[in-house]
Amino acid sequence: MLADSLTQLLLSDVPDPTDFPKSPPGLRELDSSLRCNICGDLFDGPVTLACGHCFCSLCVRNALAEKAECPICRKQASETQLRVNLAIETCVAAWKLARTHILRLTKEEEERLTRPKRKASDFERIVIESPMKKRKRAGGYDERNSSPTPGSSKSPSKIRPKSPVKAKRVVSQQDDDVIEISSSPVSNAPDIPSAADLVTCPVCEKEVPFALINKHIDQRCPPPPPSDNDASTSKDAQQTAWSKLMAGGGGKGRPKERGIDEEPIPKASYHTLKDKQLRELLLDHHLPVSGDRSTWITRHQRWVMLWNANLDKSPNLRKSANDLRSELKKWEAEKTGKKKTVVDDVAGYEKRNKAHFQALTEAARPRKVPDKSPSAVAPGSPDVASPLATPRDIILVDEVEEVQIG
Amino acid sequence: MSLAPPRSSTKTSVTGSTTEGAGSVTRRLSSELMQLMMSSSPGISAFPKSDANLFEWVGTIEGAPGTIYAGLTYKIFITFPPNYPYVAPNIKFESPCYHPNVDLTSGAICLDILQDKWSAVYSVQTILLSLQSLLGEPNNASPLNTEAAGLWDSPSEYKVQLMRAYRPISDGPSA
Repeated sequence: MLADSLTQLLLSDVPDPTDFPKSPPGLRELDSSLRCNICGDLFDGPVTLACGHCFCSLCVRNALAEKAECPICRKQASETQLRVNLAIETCVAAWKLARTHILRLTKEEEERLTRPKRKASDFERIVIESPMKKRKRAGGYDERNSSPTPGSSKSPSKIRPKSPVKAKRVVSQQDDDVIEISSSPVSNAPDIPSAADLVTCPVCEKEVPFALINKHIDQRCPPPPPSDNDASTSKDAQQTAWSKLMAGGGGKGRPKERGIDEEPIPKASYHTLKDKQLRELLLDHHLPVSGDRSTWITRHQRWVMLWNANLDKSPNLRKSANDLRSELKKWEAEKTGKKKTVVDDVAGYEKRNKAHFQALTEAARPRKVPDKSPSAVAPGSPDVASPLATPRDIILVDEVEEVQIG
Repeated sequence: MSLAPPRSSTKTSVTGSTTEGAGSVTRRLSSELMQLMMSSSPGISAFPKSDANLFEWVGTIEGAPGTIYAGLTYKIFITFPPNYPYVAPNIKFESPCYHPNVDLTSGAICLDILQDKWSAVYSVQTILLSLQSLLGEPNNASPLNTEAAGLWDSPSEYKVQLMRAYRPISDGPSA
């Protein structure tokens, strides 16, 4: 539909790189580097041109049909140069799986940092001060703490990338450091949790029992055990979570009819073809033969493009021939189909079409009176002459009623 | 963009896309709109003209600070063809603009990226930024308004003509 309501659009979710905040660096850039510069979506059948620039196969085939140059650098280019970019395709598939998860994590982190951050700053102080005191013993810390900054003066955004790293290092040398933390001044760490208390993991920000926090971080933050503190359950939970994640992605590869003749279709030189041959060309691919010769040509051109672009995807990501056919149909409908005209001057539009409206009203009347439906002209309706409620209303008129596709 | 709803209300869902069913042009236009609203580029804005038609936008361009157009705001119309972005959108000045590369009466613009140098990777944002820089740095070699091109080198006279043609756009967001 061309006439999407704007409010609808604004409320809908258009996934794009700005979904990610700027502060954990690289996420927004990662998302945008996996998107096609033409359509703005994640690469769908990525292909590379001779200059090295990468696009969705269908997007770049469309662009090359307009002009034989790379849309980014304008180097001369042609469809024969296109090479499938398998690495990017795999990358996009993995990112699609991870994206929602990472978005959720960054969002949780954002929310957590906007809450009063007593715990976070305490942790920062412990982490920074304890190694400073034991500089002599734990020699490895010297270089890392060459510019010690008091945690309190840091902005929250600066704490974030640093504290997890340091915390991890402290914890990984637990034999020495656990003692050091608990012996640090009470004013700095007023609430040392007991073993069963839940503490927030500095890396993944999940609530984890204090006794398990070191193990949790060492294992790179597995999901916390659902019910108890048993380590084996935690591992099981981790496995279930992973298999769930993988299954969710695998579910996308729905079963498809796979044609035997998955060969690229060569372009036809239409001017050498007679109508009959052109017709056969369409029928060969089970395409509709409605419309005139020029419709046939555009239809076949589009079909070749859709078909060949589809072949640039890995077999498990390809669409079925029937899916492509309905895509072609949709494209034609979008191209030739209903164009909505916005009527701004409602009064003028009414005046101009008065005769037409009256004819319609006349035609409707004999049918409506007998069945007395509530939709019939309401008794006492003030302005029958002006059926178009208020002058502020916007009226949409279908310009082309018929879509000529079989 | 005063019309842009707060971020939280536009980007709440983290799951799949709800524009999935829409046509590719509509999808691209909505993502461009989102991009424009999120990036807050100074001095440029654009928004669909009406609720019902995503293919016609109204935009504003402010003259860049330090140029002769500083402090002036122009209204433009953008019309997208059905095969956008493979074909350039149609752009013209709605407010009268005295400029070597703009036709004063029709608002037509002479800018290579809007004609033969168009590329599918350009967007509304890149167009508006190009137009903004075109205001301060006209291409006097191919003028549409020869008088303006001739006066460009004498700024004080140019400014007089510029201000004579200028019509401030009414306040408030243009939508």
